[in-house]
Amino acid sequence: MTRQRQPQLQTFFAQIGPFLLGTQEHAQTVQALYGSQGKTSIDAQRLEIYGRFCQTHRFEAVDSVFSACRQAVLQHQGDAAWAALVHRYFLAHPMHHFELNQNGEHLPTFLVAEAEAGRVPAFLPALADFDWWEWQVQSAPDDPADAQPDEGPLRLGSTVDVRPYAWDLLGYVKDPGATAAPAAKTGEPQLIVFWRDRSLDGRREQAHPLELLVIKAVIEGVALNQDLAKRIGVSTKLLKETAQDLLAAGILLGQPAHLAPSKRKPTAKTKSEPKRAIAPANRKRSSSGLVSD
Amino acid sequence: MTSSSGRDISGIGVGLRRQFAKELATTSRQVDFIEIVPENWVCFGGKSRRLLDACTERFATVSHSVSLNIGGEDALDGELLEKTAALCERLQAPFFSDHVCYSSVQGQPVHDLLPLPFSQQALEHTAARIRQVQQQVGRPLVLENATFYAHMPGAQMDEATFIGQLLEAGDCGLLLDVNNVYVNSQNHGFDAQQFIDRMPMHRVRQLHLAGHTLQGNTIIDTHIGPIIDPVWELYRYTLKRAGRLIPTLIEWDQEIPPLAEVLDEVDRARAIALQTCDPQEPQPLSGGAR
Repeated sequence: MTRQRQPQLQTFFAQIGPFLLGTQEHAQTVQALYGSQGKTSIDAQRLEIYGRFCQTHRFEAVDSVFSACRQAVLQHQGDAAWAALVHRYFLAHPMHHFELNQNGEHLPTFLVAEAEAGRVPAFLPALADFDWWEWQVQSAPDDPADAQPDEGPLRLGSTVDVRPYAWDLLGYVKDPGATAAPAAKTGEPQLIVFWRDRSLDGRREQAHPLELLVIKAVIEGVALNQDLAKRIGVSTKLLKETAQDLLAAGILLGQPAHLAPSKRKPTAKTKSEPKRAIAPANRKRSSSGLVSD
Repeated sequence: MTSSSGRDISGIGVGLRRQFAKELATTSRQVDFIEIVPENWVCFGGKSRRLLDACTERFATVSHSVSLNIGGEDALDGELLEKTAALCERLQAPFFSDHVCYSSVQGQPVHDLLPLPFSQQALEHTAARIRQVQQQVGRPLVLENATFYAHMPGAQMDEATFIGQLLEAGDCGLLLDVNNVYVNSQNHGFDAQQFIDRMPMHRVRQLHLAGHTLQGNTIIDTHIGPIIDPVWELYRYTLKRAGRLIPTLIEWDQEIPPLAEVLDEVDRARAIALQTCDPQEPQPLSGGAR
């Protein structure tokens, strides 16, 4: 047992903290904690284990949720670039939450500045945002408003979000290794709707213009009737069929009684594949330094 | 100690992990209780919440935190304490647990279980926080002896003394991790049975058993693989020493095999417990399932 020094507890935390947070080297920490006489002890050597463990947890906090983003960096810039990026991210946005994955919440906005500085590919902030929203619809807490999906007024599911992207991210994440980068969208951005479906699977698909109009109408409380159909230049039948599809998909919730039953084939969205199932990084009961999940 | 207000646990249980949660919820094999790490579950809805509900509706459940930062300098995490209290209330958990450690520095969670200096100041500091946490959650706190790979400077006593005095000062229970005792004894060269002898058995509410991994000259508490024979031997010794069947939990956290293999360890622990504990005073081994 190392007994040669008895720092105050406050001093102890101040000396070991930077090492655990990845901002101070092992040797410097050993010198501060154990002094010259103790720096070759087994305790001083094994202190390195804790630095390694804490570093591993910083990777765990982002590797699972931002898997497409990570893969893109590995492909374009290599392992060292990802490691450096994660290090810079946590310097800018320190761990703050007991749920490990939540600590990655600022990565998309952090990457905007990184891309502007030319340190990461230009599409990376958008891809990180895509990763994050996939995770959000999968993991979001249950909203009481979703508990009776077929009851109540027509409304949007609590997890629904529409995100604009300047790249074809849907095409890219289907096979990230196939192309070096997602294709840039010329003109209008790609609008992707993210939501948790009736089976509680997370989903994302490109939103069609008419579907967006229906979603907008529901948000604004505008009736899905002949007047609206006329205003947007579609048939009432098509308007109601679109709403029916959105109900079936779980994007809209509520009583469908006033909508015409759909007889058309489902759109690409309603037959979409579930998104990548993200296995969240879990806090393990043990310290291992190994990445799991 | 703060009195239990929930449904107590008994017998042999298993730590809930996502990889086998769905299968566990419907298994026909005997599992007496489960333990969940709240940090990995309480923030999520959707399928994750359904899985949790399916398991906790079937099995008596205890909450085992990894982020309370009971020995740390940073302020206690109010959100985590609130969610832990709500979880324990929902589960009617008899107690909640964490580790003799700290897990946050300079206001930042580091998501690991880090060793404190075994000093009088650390003891008094941690004891005060134990009382605070018990008050805020409204249930007894049970602390686990953690593995540690390096002694921190400033130690004034050994681990066993520190734990014994801490439990007294904080007036809380002990979750005695038998594997951790073994790992620490090997890494630091002390007698594991003598360590068990020095634990206040009347405060022990639960035992843990797990595998571990040798990396270089250090055994790491990975919770990988089957439990090795010396740890089973130490488990027998602990039960004999306690003179009762202490609720025992199997942990398998990484490289997780099919559930059947994990439950084989549960069966083995049950067999050892039945052999070891006084047959004249049989303990309920199946009372945990709801």
